[in-house]
Amino acid sequence: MKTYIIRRLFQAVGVCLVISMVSFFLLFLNTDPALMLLPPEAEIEDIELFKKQMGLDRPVIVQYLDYLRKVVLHGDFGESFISKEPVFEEIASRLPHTLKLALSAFIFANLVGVVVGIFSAVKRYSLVDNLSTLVALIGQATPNFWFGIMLIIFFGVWLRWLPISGTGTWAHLVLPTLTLGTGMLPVNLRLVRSGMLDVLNQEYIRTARAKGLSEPKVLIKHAFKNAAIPVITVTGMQLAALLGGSVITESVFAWPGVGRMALEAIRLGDYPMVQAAVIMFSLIAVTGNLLADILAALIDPKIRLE
Amino acid sequence: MAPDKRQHSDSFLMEARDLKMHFPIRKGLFSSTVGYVYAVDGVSFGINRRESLGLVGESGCGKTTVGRCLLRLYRPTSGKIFFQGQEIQDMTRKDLLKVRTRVQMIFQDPYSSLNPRMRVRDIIGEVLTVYKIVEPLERKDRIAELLQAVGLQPDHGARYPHEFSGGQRQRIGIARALAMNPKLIIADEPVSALDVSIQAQVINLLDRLKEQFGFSFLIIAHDMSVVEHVADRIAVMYLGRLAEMASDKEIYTDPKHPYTRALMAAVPIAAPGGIERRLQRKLLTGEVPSPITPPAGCRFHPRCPRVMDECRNRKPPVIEVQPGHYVHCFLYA
Amino acid sequence: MSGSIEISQELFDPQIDETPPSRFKRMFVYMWRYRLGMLGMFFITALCITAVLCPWIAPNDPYEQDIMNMLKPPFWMDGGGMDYPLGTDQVGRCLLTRIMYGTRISLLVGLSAVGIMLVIGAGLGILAGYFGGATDSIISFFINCMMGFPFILLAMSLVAVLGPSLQNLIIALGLTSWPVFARVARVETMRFKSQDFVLAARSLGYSPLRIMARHILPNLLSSLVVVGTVAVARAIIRESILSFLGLGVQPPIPSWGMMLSEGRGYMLMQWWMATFPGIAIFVSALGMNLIGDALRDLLDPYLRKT
Repeated sequence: MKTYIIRRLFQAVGVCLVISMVSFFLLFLNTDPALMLLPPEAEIEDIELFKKQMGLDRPVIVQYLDYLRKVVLHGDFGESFISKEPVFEEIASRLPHTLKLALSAFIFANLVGVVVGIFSAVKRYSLVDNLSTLVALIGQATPNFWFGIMLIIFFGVWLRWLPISGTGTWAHLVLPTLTLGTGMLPVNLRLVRSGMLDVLNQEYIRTARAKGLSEPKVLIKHAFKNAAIPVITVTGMQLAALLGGSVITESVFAWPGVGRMALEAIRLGDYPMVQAAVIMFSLIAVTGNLLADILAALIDPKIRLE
Repeated sequence: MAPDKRQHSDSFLMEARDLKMHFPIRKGLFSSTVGYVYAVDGVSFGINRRESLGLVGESGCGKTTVGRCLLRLYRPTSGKIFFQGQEIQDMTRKDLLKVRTRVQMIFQDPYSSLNPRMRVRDIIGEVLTVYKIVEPLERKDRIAELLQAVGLQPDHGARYPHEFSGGQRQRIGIARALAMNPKLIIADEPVSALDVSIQAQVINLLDRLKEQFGFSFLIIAHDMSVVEHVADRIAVMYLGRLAEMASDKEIYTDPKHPYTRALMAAVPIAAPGGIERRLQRKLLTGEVPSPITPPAGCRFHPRCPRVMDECRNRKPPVIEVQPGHYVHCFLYA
Repeated sequence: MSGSIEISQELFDPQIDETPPSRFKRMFVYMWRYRLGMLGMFFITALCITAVLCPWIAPNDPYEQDIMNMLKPPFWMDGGGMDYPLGTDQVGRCLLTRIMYGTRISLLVGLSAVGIMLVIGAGLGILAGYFGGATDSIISFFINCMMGFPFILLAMSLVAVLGPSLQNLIIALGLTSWPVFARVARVETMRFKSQDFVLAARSLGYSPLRIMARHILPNLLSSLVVVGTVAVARAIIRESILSFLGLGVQPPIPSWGMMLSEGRGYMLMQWWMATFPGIAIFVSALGMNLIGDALRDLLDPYLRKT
C-alpha cells in the first residue's frame, strides 16, 4: 500500500513538472515578452538592454529553472504583464470565486447523480429511471456553454427569475452551478446506476437481505460502498473537468473567477499569468486524480496490485 | 544427462542439457526481485529424428515451460538447448528465424490459439506467405492440401475460427503447424481442452501425421493415457525436474521411480470381462509443493513412500537401470 | 467489420420458430432492438447529406450579407418569412444556410481530429501494451501527463501559439484527446497479447510489426470504433467551444460555435441566433453518442463470444 502511494506521488510530481515545462516552452516560443512590456516606440537597443536587465536573453532552460526556483521557494509567480501586479495575488483574489462555483457544481452533480442513480438502479424502468437515462443521454450531447446561454435566455431574460451575470447573492450562483454541474451529471448518473445494478445482482446482497437487514441498510452499507468505486475514480477526473468547465462557464456568466482570468490572459498574451494558471490547474487536477486513485485503492485492494 | 547409448549422441534432433528456467518475482517500489519461481530446474533429455517423446507430469511441474523454452519463447535462465547440433538458447532473433521454420508448436486452448479475426485459410496461408514457401499461385492448393491432411474440407478455409468446434479448431492449429513442414512439432497439451471422445480422434490424427510427414514429436500432457498411444518414449517430470525417462513400454510395465508408480496407480485399467480394477499400488497423499519454495534435495521426498535420509539433502543422481531407462532416484544408486 | 455476424439467429428460439425468419424480418427486429442507434444513424446520415449537398439544398448563400434584413426572426414569428426560415444574424446572413454549411466544418473537424487521435493514441497504446517494460512505463507516464491537463488550457495554448485556423484547430483537438484511445488500446493489447494465437504468431517467428498490425490491431477495431464515435461527438463539442472563444475557425466561415458567440451578444432580444446553432451541435453529438452506445451493445457479446 505504501509503495503504491509513493509511486503515485512520484508520478504526480513528475507530471506537474512536465506540464509546467511544456507550457513554459510553449509560451516562450510564441513571442517575445520584452515586446509586451515595453512601449511600442522602443528602439531595438532599448529592447536589448531591457532584455539583459530582466534576464530574458538567457537560454530557455536557465530561465525555466530560475522560474521554478522562484515558484517553489518563494511562491513568486512573477508579475502580470497587463496589470503589473504580482500574479500570485491576482490569482488568490479570484480563486475563492472559482472555488465557490466549483464546489457548488461538484456537490450538485454528485448529490443529484448519486441519489437519482441509486433510485434508478433500485427501481429499474420506473419513470425516474427512464427520465434519468434520458437526461444523461441528452446531457452528454449538450455543449455546456450553450446550455448556459439557454438558461440565461430562459430564466434570466424571459422569466426574469434569476440574475444572469456577476456575483453576489446565492441567486447569482444558481445558473452557473447548473451549467457547470450538468457537464458532470450525466456521467455520474450512468456510473452510479450501472455500478449499483452490477452490485445489486450479486449473491452477497441477497444474503444480506435474507439475513433480514432493512432495505436502506442493505443499499447503503453493502451495495453502495462497492458501487462507489468507479464513481470515486471518476470524481478525480472530474476535478480536471471542473477546472476546464469553469473557464467557459465563467466566461458565459461573467463570473469573476480564475478561469475567466486565464482566458483573458491567453488572449492578451499575459504569460506569467497563463503560466501560473496552467501550473495551478494541473496541480489541482493531478492532486484530484491522485486522491481518487488512493481512495479507490484503499477501498478495493485489487487495484493496489497494479 | 548422458544421452541414450543406443542412439548416436550427436544425432539428437533437439536436446536440452541442464535446462533451467527461473521466473523472478518482483515486488516493492523498485520492482526488486524477492524470489523465483523454479519452473524448470535442471532438465536434460533429447529427441531423435522421427521419434516421439511424451513429457508428462502434474500441473505446475514445468512441462509447458520446457516446451516453450525449446521454442525459445522464453530465454532460459541457464543450460543449453541444441537443435540439429546448434546451440539456440542465446541466439538472436534473426538467427532464430531459421530455427523457427523447423520447429513448430500446437497449443492447448483451441479457443484462443487462433486469431478470431482471420479466416482459416489466412491463418494457415500467412505462414506460407511470410516464409515464401510456395509461389502465390500454389498457395491455394497447398492450403487445401493441409486442410485435407488434418481431416477438414478445403472450403472450410473461407470460414472463421468461431464457426468450428474445439476439435476442429485443434485440427486447424495442427494444419498451421504443418504448413512449414517442420522437423519437430511440440504439442502442448493438445487435447486437454477437448471432450474425451474427440481426444482420441485428434491423437490418432497426430499419430497418422507423424508417420505421413515424418516429423519428430514432443507431446506434453498431464494424462498418461493420452501419450501412451502415440509416444515412443516417455519422460516424467515433477516440480521442475525429471523423475524418470524410458520407452513407452517400460514405463508402463516397469516403472521405477516412486512418483511414476503413483501416477501409474492412478490410471484405470480395463480387465477382461469389462471390470475396471486399479493396480494395487499406493496412491499419493498431499499436494504438490509450490515451485517458489521447492523442497531441498529430491523434490519428491516429502511425499515419497520410500524416502531415505539422503533424499532430503542431495539432488538424486541419474541412473540407467536398464538400457535406455533412466531414473533420478537414490533407491537405485 | 469483416466476419459474419450471425447474432440475429439468437434472437429466435429454434424450438419455437420452426422456419427461420426471412432476412427482412431479421433486419426489422435488429433495427427495433437498436432503435436508439438507428435514430443516431438517421441524425448523422442527415448531417452528412446536408454537408455534401448544402450548396444545392440551402435556401441562401452563407456569406451573403443583407443589412436591410438583419436580425430577422424565424418564420413562425412576426416579421419572419420563408426566405430566411430561421431568421438572420446581425449582418443579415441566413441562419439556416449558415447552420447547414456549418455541418461541413463540424464533421470535417470531428472526423479529422479523431483520425489523428486514432493514429497517435492507438499506435502508442499498442506499442505500450505489446512491448511492456520501459516502453510501457514511458508511454503510460505520458498518457497520465496528458490526462492531468484540462483540455481547455492545452488546446487554448496550442492555438494561441500556432494561430487560429481550421488546420490548427484540428491539430490542437487531435493532440489533446488521444489519451483515451491509448488507454483502451493498451489494455486491450495486453489482453490479447496473452492469448495463445499471439504466442503462436511469435513462435512462428512473425515480426512484432506484423503481429501488432495483422493480429492485434484487427481485434482492437471494435473497441476503437466504439471509443471513436464518442470521441467524434466530443470533438464536435470541443470545436464549438474553441470557436466560441474565438480560437477556432475565423469569420466569415460558418462554424456553429462562432455563431453562438456572435449570438450571445444578441441573446437578450434575438434569441434565435444563439439557440439554433446549439441545437445543431446537440443533434450531432447526440447522434454520434447514440451510435456509439448501440455499437458497444452490439459488439460486446460478439467479443465475448470469441
